[in-house]
Amino acid sequence: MSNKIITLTLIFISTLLFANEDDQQIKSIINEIKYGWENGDGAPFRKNFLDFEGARYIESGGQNEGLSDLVEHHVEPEKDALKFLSLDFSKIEIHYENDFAWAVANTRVKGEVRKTGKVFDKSGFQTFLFRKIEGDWKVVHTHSSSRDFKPKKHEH
Amino acid sequence: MKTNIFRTLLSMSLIIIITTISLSHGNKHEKPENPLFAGLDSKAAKVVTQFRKALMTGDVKLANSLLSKDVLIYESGNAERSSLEYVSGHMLADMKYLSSIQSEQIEHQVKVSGDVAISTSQSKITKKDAGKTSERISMETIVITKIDGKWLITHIHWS
Repeated sequence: MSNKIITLTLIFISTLLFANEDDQQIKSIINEIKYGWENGDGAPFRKNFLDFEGARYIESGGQNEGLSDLVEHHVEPEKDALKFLSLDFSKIEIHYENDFAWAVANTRVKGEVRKTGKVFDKSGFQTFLFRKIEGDWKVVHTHSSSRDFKPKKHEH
Repeated sequence: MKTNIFRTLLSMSLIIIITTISLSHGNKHEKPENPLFAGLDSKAAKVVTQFRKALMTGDVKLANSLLSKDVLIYESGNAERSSLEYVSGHMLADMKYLSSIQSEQIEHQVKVSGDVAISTSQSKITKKDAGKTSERISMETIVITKIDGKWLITHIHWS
């Protein structure tokens, strides 16, 4: 009886450890993506995204088709187009289904357009879909949507 | 003896060559899949198309039956965290909106991976209001998960 309890406890602990490891890897990828966007650096995308035909990355009414399109026509040009960009992911929730995971987060994005000096401040949501390939989580799809940030009014 | 072996080998080679040629010839007549509309024959894809139809026709019962109880829906800056929250809240407004516009799906792909499927689509929305016509593009990501043998929608992101 005690052996069974010990075995079940060990299985439970190892499950938690593995889940924690997955959480850490996915959160680390999300953090690297944040760095990539903020610095107009395509490297974290090329490292963490699965490059496959038919990949689509959606952002508020538009999309990039394929990893190179995302990096070359969206991520990297923002370095020149924006004076600064700050992107924050919060309330990250991760769900697993075997070798598939999806993470959702609240987003806050602030920046300044170099050409016009226009400053923007938006809040919204982000969906990341992942697949585990040879032990590593890879992003297979992203969808972000945001609106002009409006602080919530306090109810009295 | 040697002649028999040679004949057998020759026959087998001919069968393989003929089969290969006929298969490749057959493939030429298959209709190439349109990459903009791909993977739509799967059961998971049918859940998505049924859900879309249910929203467009105002079929609350059907729409609700295709959602997982703990579905997470991101829409227009709002998050709804259960089918109950969506069905009793925003869904009726969505149905009313969809009945007032023309929505043309311009691409839709579904990829199934084990018990999870990803659906991504893009639609052109045309709205006529006071004689003016406006157009916008609507994007949709849906995660469909096989739960107890049934494909259900577990996440939607509309923008």
